[in-house]
Amino acid sequence: MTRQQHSPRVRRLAGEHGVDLAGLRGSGPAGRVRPADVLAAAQPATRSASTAATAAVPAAAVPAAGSGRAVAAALVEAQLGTADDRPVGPLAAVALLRALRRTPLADADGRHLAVLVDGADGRRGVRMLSDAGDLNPAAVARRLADPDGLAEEPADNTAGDGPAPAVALCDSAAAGLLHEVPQLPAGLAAVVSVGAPVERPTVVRHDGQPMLAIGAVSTVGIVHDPARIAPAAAHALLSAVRAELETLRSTTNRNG
Amino acid sequence: MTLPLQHHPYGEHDAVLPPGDVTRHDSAPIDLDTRLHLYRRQQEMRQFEKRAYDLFMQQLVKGTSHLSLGMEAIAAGFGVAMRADDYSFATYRGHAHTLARGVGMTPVLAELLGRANGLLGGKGGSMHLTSVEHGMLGSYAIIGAHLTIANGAAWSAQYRGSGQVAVCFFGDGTTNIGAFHEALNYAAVYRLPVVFVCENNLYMEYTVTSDITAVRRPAADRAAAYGMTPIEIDGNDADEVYQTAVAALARARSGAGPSLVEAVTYRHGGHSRADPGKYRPAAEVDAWKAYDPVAIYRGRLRRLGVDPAQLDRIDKEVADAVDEATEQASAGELPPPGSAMTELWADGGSSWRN
Amino acid sequence: MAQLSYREAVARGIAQEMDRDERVVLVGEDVAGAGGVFKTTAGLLDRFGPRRVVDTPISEQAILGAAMGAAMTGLRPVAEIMFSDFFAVCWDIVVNQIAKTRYMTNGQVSLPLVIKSGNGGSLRFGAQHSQSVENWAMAVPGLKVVSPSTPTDVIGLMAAAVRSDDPVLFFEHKGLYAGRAEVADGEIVDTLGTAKIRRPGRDATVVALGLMVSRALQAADELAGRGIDVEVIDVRSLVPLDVTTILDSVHRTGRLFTVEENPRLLGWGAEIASIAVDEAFWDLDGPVQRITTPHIPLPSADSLEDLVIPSVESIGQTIEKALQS
Repeated sequence: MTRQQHSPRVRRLAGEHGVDLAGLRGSGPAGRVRPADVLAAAQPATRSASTAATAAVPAAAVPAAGSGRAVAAALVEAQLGTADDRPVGPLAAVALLRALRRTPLADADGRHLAVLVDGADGRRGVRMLSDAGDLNPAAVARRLADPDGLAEEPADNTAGDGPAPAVALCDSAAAGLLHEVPQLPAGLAAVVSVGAPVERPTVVRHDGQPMLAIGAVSTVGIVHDPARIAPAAAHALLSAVRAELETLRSTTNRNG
Repeated sequence: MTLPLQHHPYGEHDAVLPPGDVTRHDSAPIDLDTRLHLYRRQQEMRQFEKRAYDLFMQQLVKGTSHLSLGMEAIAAGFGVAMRADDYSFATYRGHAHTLARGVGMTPVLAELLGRANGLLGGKGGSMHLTSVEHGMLGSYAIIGAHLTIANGAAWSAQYRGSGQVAVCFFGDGTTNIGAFHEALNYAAVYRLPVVFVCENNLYMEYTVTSDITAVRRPAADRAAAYGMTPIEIDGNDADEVYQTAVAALARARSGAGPSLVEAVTYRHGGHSRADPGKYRPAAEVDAWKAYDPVAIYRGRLRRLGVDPAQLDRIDKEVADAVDEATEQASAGELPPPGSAMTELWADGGSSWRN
Repeated sequence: MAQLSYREAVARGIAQEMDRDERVVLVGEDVAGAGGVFKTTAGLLDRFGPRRVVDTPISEQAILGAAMGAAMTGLRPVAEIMFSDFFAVCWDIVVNQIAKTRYMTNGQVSLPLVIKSGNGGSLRFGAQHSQSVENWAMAVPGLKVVSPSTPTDVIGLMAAAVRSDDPVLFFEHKGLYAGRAEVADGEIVDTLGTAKIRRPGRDATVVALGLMVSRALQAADELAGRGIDVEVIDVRSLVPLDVTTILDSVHRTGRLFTVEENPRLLGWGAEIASIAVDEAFWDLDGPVQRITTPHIPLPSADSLEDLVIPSVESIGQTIEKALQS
């Protein structure tokens, strides 16, 4: 056996609790993942001492970017295959984390996830999901929906055990938008936004032959501070996010 | 080594011919009502079985069927002699034995046609005809098994002191299987109220019985081995059968124990529908077809002064009954699909798990 | 309460039912005067008389045929087949007649009978007197099948079998006849189709029958000393089968083992394994394993017989190895 085999029970528990088995280390013989390991991984992740105390702090307004700071933007379209009702936001979050893990940018290394959230006062804020690198989209969705699951991004831009990500996700799809160009909050180097999927005629290839099909397409965009992230790097990140998103959408199973 | 087919070609063995005199029992002390009853029963069996044959040829009766054309006198003779609460057990060649206990023609025919209004709801078929309410405790398709079961019914009657008797019908081939010997010894040891009736039609399926049986009379010559009196009778004379039956039933009812009766008869058709019967010498077949129990009995009744018009009336009533049964059976619904899953257990279901 | 042996419990269970119901009769070879070759019917002749407790010739077909005919006509017989190996001699009556007649007659016939038989090995009786054949019976629709492992269960399941209106094959284990246990006084009536958890546990479900139950329990005790906590289920009834208890246990433990004395192929555990893999697949944390005698006739030499029938050691080793891989 050269590859980790997960038992049916382990797979079921992972699905039920939103645990990503990839990379989960098991306590069983030869590193086999045991059901208990899955249940342990399903507990909320421990937070650093400095953020734990602020876990329940409501969203605080973050001043908009000051005038005079030039920003650049770019967008691409991600082919998402046949339409379904899974929200694209969490998928994009995982795609962003994976892209950053491969190619860290501006001290964002795919370990923690920053998201733009709308505060109760209508202002935009930045929230952080710590230790989100191993999460699958369902788990991300759950954490995002959990009011206690997000910590306020500390003002000094550091998380307890590493830099706070300077690249954040904006889930425009959740607001029903095809695309938006969000303001770049102070302290962030870039925001990647994902729009709501629309169904369009597209060309797909089967055995090399082009065929007309109906597919869902989502706009993915990036707004960045060119002083911190060069356009080439930003475009590369955008492409990487698109690629991860398209892969995720085609391979993630229903329980994932 | 002795191999029968080294001594004679297949189907060319010595013929066994029927008795010559059909008048032997004309003056038997049997009242006319009983005799007319015996005649009617034989007519019912004869006409019913012919209809079953026709329906089989029309492929309305499926699978196989084993007809008792030519053997009516045995079933009728015992059927008329038995008490309504006596028990009978038959083989897969049991249509006549079922009718003999008063079971209606419609449910029997409908069972052959596999309909919901069949005697067994289409679940058992021709070979397993049973009507507990008529005392017909079943037709059995494994040679010899039901002799042991008839013993059980007799034991139960004896235990309860009810005076009931079990009558068990089987063929000449049965006398060579283990269960036959176990059952006879068992019945004799406990003096069970059971009558064993061997319908010796001279052939064990497609083989002449004399080629594969160590004794000449397959049942009668085994009786002494189990402490019973050998009894061999003309199975095509309903009066002889009736009188033998009356005596054997009385013996059993009195507590004197079992009897073994060998009644010699002949099949008009083959073993089953599939069998054209080419293994029997032509002279033998012809002679026995002429020695037809129904014809013999009709002749006797005529000689006793019964008006042929009365007999014709009986024949017509039976014909009408057969037609009526055919109509009702053919009109029967197919069994409901769910019925396949019912009546495995006493609670009516078939579940083996929770 | 009293100390009762398994064989005494057989007699007590039959007596309990014969006392209750005049229609219950006992029939078999050496069951009356000798009280049974294994002394499972001792005292019944004296208590109920020769009309109700009947010695027969060596005629297995005739014995079971008589039981069937009597059951069809108002009696509730208990018939004995001395060694379960002898079922082969009269299997036609069991599977073609008794098992099928109710169905074929569409419910006209009821067969409230019990066939009791000495089953199983470990007594050096050799291949034709030591078989475990309860799986033969399980394979035929129309037969109910039980095999008790304790004196209390013997009485209770015998009562349930006699009171059932269906044919029940009652497999006594010859290797358990001498075993004694405390049994409550008074009437004991159990329920067919119910399994019992003999030892609750967390790490694995171990389903056993007959002699294998006590061996599984001993193995469980030894495993507990090494930190492995298994749940032992005495399945008791193969038909009807208590699937709920077994699958509920698998849901909790995630591992399933069967311990079967029968030879390997198509033993009773194969059906349970199949059901688990079908209906509890997502509860399984590892392969389902059957611990059985190999697929051979049983040798007569004591050293060989002990080697092939699952032992406390082989049961424990197999479970431990499986849970640690």
